[in-house]
Amino acid sequence: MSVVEENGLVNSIFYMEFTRPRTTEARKYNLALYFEWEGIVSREAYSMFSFALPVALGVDSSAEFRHPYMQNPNARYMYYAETLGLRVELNMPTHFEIKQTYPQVEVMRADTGGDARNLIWEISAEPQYFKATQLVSADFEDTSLSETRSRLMFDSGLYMGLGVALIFNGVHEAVRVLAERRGKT
Amino acid sequence: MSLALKSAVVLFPLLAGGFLTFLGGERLYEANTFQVEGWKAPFGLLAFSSEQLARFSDAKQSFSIILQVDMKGSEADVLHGVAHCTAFIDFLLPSYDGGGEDVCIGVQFPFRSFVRGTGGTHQGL
Repeated sequence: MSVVEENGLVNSIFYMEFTRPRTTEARKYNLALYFEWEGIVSREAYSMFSFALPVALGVDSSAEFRHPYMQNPNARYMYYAETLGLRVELNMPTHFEIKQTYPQVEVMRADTGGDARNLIWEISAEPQYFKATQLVSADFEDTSLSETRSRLMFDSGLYMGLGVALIFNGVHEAVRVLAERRGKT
Repeated sequence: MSLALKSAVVLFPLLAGGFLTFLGGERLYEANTFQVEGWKAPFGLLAFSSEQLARFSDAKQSFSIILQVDMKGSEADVLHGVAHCTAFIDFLLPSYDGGGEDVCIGVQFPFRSFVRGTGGTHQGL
């Protein structure tokens, strides 16, 4: 069995090809993939992030969701939305503050150590989700970054306030010195 | 007052003020500038196969995917839009009494994904 990986700009395809064994009963296959997912999280503001996972509603829906393998004879059967059993688990540190989730998250639990938070969507159990959206999403804020931003804004105000006052003071002194020199002459 | 002292009284506030204003401006820029990663109209998540898969006995689905997205272990990467993920994929091939047919089964993930490792098992039911 071999796993083939094809990466594009907006999607990635993984598939495995193997010779089907002769069996008298159904055979269950389990596969685990460990991967880095680029683009699944987008930065909306300095400390705001959005996790958005689009799920195909069908191969004949909008062009954005059309499968590029539609013409490939290997992809005769498609599984999406209701025909795809899907569970999404998001593990994030506790200083990531959840602002909103869609669909509404079913399970939110903290790890025993209290330093992580898990969000779980059991999408396949609720196929009606797909009638309204094709996204599983969560917006969250990194509170440590928002503190950093607050400190940067405070520093900025302090430095600029002092700086502008000093510049005015320097200009004032310069004008005064020039006036004194003119008075002497 | 000597010329040197007069110059210092004029130049010091101008130079220090200029430096502090620049520093404040830089902090303001840093606090309001970030890289925006737009949603690139990706394809949706789906699975495909060259053969009809059997349905799981306890569900109407034929293909099961569990996605575990870890943002805690890859916190620094999250700032750049990258998350580490493990996908557990289960499917059921029906019985078969033919000989030597190739099967192709795969998944389409939206966005870019870079595989770091794989593992797999199969079992008769």
